[in-house]
Amino acid sequence: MTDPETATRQRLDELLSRFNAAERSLGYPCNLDFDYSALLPLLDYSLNNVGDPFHDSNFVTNTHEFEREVIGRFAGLMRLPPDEAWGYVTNGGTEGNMYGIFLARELFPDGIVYFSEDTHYSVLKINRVLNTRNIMIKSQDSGEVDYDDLRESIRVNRDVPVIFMANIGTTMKGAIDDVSRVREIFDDLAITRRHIHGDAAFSGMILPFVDDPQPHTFEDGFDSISISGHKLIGAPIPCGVALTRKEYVARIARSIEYVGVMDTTLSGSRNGLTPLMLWLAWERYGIEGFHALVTEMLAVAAYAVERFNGLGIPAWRNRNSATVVIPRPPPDVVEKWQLAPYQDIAHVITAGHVTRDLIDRIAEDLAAARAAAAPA
Amino acid sequence: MQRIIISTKNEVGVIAGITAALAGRGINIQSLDTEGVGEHGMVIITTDDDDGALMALSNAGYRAVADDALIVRLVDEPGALAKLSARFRDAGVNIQSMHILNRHGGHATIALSADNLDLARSLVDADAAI
Repeated sequence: MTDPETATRQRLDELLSRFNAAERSLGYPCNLDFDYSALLPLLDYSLNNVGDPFHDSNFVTNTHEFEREVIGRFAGLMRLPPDEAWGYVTNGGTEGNMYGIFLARELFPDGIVYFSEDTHYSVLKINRVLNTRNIMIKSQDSGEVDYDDLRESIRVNRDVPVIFMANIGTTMKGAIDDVSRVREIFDDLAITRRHIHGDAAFSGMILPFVDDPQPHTFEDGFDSISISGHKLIGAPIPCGVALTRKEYVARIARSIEYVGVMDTTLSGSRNGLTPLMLWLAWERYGIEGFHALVTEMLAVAAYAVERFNGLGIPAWRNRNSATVVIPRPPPDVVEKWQLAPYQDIAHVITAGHVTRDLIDRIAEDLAAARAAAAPA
Repeated sequence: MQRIIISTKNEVGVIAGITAALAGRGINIQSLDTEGVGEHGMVIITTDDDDGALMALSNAGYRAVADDALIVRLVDEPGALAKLSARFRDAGVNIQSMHILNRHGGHATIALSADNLDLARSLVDADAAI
């Protein structure tokens, strides 16, 4: 009979074997190249970042100091001056998006949330949880919001504040909503009560490092932005950052103070380890490292489009995107490469761990599947 | 009992897939109707377990909504949704949510919830309501 300790270890070893045997995922926007082993000694502590990272905490084993540094780094990328910036490390993109919509709803309680049909499905949950009125807008074939449809929908409700959730890289096509055009619509319709939140889960870490980025910063008109940490940067635990202007949070904080709580974040207890991971990633990459990473990712994406097209596969990608859109392959290819299909398409995402060799290998599978499906 | 509307491709095996997904959870279909527009279709069912059916269909990868949403089919052209919104606004109906279920064959299928669904339903052209 196996003793309990051995059985426990065997169970974990089996799990590890299964993970090791799988091909590296090509369908999800998560960089699998990371090393946070320097943080292993911290696992002996009960880390908890409960509360606002910019306020004092009674919980001694917190990492607020590192969290503030991380927020400062991301704020700098998004052109938000340090003395105007506020944010915290979230459990991932959805919490960051929820924070942005929560903030907007607190500022404009009667506002309507507008978002395109290519927006991540979690926006539906967020609107339900926050009980915010919401209207889905058509997308263009590229995945970008249909500006005419947005304009007409806002025009009908022009007396109501507008909360626009902009995609800085849609989930399936990597499309980026042009907030300069969105702001033109607001101005044309004299919409003064407005809030633009950016879902920059993956591409929020691409655009700051390209030569000709689409609008994506606070200077471009965003009021809040959510960026994922476990995606482009890579981490073993989902994480991200919510960023906004300090003055907005100060208004919310005042309202929360009435119920005796000054915690301006959404969670109570918060992860104290993930701020350290993001801090370590910033220490290791720095601006130059991230620039090199993004340059290589986009080069591999360009290579993938060229390689797939060369085999007769009609692949394409949006500008400044590492998301390569392909026709939906058969289930065996989807499963082998852990692709994420939706309706008639799927995508290959050239995250940091994706090499040209991996692209060549999936290209062969895609071509073989295409040949097998062709009429005799 | 609610109607459950499933937005799906209009192809062989869809009904079999839906019934299998529900049977696998021990849920009985009490009525079933279909509507097809080109490549796309709607399957409208009632069952003996609304919540269970929605869960089973969702887990099986179907896009299904319950009848507390008003389902409308519109011509997919610029401003079509806005015109509908304007009609509701003028009648004093507040839209809580308006979501696009699918866009195919020149039509868009919309699911919306509102503070007065009966009034909203009465404002929709008879041939547009599902």
